Amino acid sequence: MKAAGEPSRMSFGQGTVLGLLLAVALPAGLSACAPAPDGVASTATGGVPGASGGGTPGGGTNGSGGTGGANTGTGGGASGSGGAGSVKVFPVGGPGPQTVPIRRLTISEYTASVTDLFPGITLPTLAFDNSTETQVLGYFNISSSQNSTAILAEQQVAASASIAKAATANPATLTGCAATTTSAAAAQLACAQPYLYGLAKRAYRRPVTTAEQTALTTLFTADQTAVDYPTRLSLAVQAILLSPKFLFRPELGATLTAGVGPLTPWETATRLSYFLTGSMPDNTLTAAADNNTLATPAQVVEQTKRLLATPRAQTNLVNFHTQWLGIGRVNALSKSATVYPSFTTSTALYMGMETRAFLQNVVFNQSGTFGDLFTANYSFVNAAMATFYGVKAPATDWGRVDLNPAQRQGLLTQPALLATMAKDDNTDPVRRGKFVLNQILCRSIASPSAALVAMFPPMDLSKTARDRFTAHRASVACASCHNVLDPLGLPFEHYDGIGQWRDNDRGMTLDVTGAVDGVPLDGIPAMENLLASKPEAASCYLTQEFMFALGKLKADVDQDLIDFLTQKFGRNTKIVDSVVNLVQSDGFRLMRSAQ
Amino acid sequence: MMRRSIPRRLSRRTLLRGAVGGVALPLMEAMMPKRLRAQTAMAPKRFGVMFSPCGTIPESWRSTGNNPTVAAPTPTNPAISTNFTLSPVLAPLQPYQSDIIVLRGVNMETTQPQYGPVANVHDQGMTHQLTAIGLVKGPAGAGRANHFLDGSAGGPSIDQHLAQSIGKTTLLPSLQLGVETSSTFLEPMVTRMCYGKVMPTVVNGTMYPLASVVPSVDDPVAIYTRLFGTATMGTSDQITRALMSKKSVLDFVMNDYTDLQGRLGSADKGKLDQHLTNIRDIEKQLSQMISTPGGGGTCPGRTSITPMTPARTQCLRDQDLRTPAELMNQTPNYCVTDYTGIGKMQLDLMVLALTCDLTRVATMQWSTGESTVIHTWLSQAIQFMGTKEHHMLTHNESPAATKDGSKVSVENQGIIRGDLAHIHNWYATQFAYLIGKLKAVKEGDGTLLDNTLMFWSNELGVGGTHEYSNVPYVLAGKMFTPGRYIDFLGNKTAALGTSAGVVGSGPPHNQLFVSFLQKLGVNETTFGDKRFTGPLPGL
Repeated sequence: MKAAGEPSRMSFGQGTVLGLLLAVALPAGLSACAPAPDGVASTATGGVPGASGGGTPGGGTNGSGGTGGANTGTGGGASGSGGAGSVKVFPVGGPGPQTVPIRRLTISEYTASVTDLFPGITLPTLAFDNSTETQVLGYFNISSSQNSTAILAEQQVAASASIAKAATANPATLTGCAATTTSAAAAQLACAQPYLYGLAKRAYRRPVTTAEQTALTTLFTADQTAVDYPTRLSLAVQAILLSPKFLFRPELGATLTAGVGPLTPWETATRLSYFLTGSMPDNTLTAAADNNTLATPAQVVEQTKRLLATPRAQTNLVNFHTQWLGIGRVNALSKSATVYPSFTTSTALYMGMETRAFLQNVVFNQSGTFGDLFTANYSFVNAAMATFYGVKAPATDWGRVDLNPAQRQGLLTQPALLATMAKDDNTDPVRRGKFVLNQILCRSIASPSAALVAMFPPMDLSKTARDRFTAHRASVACASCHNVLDPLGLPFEHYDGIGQWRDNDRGMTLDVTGAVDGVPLDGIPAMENLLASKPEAASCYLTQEFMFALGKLKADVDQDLIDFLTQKFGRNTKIVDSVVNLVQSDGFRLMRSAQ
Repeated sequence: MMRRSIPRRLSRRTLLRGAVGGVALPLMEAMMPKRLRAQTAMAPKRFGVMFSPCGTIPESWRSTGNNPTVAAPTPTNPAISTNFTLSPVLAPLQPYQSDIIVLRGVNMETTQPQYGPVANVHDQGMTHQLTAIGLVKGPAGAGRANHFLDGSAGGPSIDQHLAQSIGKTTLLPSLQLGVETSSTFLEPMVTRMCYGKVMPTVVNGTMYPLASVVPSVDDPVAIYTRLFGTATMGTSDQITRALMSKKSVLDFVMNDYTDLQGRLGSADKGKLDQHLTNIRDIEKQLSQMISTPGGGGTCPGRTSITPMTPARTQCLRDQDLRTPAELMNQTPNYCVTDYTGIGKMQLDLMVLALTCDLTRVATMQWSTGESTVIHTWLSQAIQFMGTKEHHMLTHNESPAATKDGSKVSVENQGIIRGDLAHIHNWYATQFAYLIGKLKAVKEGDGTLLDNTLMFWSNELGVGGTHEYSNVPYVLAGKMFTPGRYIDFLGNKTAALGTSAGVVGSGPPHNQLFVSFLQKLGVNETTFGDKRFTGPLPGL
């Protein structure tokens, strides 16, 4: 089964940024661009990171090179962590749990879940409208963005009906029980009941209560003289698929003390499963919940390690990274045929496949550390991408090739990323710099106000980007932002609008020096070496993982958990170990009721 | 045909019962007392939109006015001809020339930078075309080719605004039909044209006044289900049975919501409540359909349409230019296989919904802005040997079109303009079909067309240059005196493939919409951006 809307759901990815691009209302002509070391802690309802500079005329003075204190802050200013020299001490399981709001299955989770519910049955194509799902900060599963609309309700009704109809076309096959349309009502009930109860248990991802069983039986037996067996079975199946107990993931907990306590084993299994695999718990995980062998951190870790070895979990965690990087729409990229005649729709496609192959291999097949994400000087290509790089094609498609270490290293030189963060006929140092700031360092910066945009002097496109932006920075209002962005964006200038290496810009020499928080660097490989060891980048990565895992934006109260996890994470930590550390923490395994 | 399918004369009591139930019933001739039949004024007024994308070819679109009221028209004083010769693109409308008004020279002035942020031209065109107000940039900002990734319109579209007044008493306030609008490679703002109220969205302390999206529905089965509660065909007993079965499922589900809500914290409870409200609305409509015949099983002509969920085929950008190996490796989209057939079915459903008064506001969106549709079914196949996607064709149409234009030879540019004229001519044929269907439905002493204002809209004026001026608008119906050509440009001409109009000086389409409002009984003098006032001169 395929979701027909699939490609279009990656709609909001590129350029989506952590902390978001704030169109902050400002005194006319001023920018909002003091660097915001606490930007990461902002929430959807929180304060306005970066806005503090807005009230300060000449914000450029405190905008030079970052005031966060090079290499000291972990971005957790709001909770008082990360001050130079202070190391927080946490209990073994980390800080206590915070509230996690109820989540609705995403379109992708819904599709995977119904596929799991009806193995071996060909289900109809589902066509959810792309307006029913909003991407926030790159992610599809953020609870606060999951609003209900009339068309979503309509499509849920329609999808559940068509799936149920397809599934019940042959009741005997579905139920594994011989009753047919012509059987006696009692025989039909004898077949339908155990099937429906079992289906409800799997769909609700927990044991079903007697009252719930009764309601299903009542629905199934209503009008049984007038409505045939397959139709009645289909209605009951539809009701299960349309129930909020399937569509949502409520967490009510086992025994809460003062609102805090363990999840039920089934709720633990469900949290784990949707995070790791993007679908409902598999049989082994469900059995562990049934047998109450998911209660300890070690038991959770055991299941996690098992799942991490499955292709499904690996694909889902690659999805996490592509959402983080905002490259989900790379397939649809088009470029100016005049400026980049070699760029075709196939190029765009292969770039996306390359980055997926890179992530899959780096995280799961190679040494798999956080540092590798930034320092691996190899990639995984087919013949077309080998040509793109000017290297010999590997023996088989998507095999490993080593790249020129002076030019290529880590995620930031992946063509999919570089081409996405570019204009259709040029590079885009502002967007690339903003990407590093927002997604890698979890800091936010405001978009210029309309009043400021109107004041922008025209750019002299005959000059290099560095010369253009040097002129731009002559304006104090512009400088306050560009003093932050340019040192992060201009080092990318060796990569053109499709991510191709260029020695110079139309014959003009390129100066690709820059800085991260005042630490000078020359070129992207150097920047990535800095980032790989930078605690703030590590903390930011874990923040992204946290949001994807729990389907919530990180709030100030969540900073302790991030800090706790960051203490165990760095350049040489394996990515999969960061997953293991998260799932066994109290913040993941326990719950706090929302009362 | 419509009249033959009415099983028996419906009693006036039926009508009253429906009215008491809050559902307006079809004012079919058979239901009207004789005394009222003559009074077509009794018939409800309807508003419809048909959208086709990518502007037009001005020189092939321009009709000729033979008795213009003025020789040199201005934005406030158009040349109006009652005797006019339709252009090659509009030729299919000839049988209905006395039923239509052709407008030349109306601009989407609100796309100018002083009225709002400037996004990708297709984002602009789609969000401005029915709202006539500046759009809003969303928190994620701009992506590919300056598409605003999560922006929206800055206000409601004309159809949704009208639905607030003329749509209040019908089963559905409005109906949005589509063909190839949802399954697409394109960014959201390019794909949507109908917008509801502004729902301020706060992200990180900043408020974004984004209008809510009202998406078009590409699946005739979903449309049919909206109208009749179920797509089940059969006797009225079978239909009622199907409605009741569906209601039993919804009742079960609503109980589950209540059950779950009782155990959740208040924030989660509120979230579930939103969903429950939408489910409850569907259930309410079903109950109405079960208890009142007009809304459900007995709409005459209901059985004349058997809706089908569109078959979809894997499709790709530039698919006609790719090798099989390249195609195999792409992550595909799924395109409607039978664009023409699904389109016809949707138009039929639109007319049926208006006929039975299940709604009074209906929109038909063939495709998206920046349309990727490849029109393979035209009577004259597309001649250009390069990419055949509708939008890509427009980019290669004229030297002025884009920076890529220089790749296409002058000869090929001529060929492409010919191809595009054929495409637009095909859409004119569809508009003619719609007019014909509306005209075939008797209502009182007249026809459904008499009581409908049907508006053919576009997101651009000129495809090649992607201009917002001289948008190719056509109106049908009798609300405004039909059979006229209203020309604001006169003898102004321009180079091949460019617009003779200039945005910044023409009559704004805000005025067109103010005229619509006033004609449909909404006494307002502005629509969209309030800096533009009053109705369209001459209309």
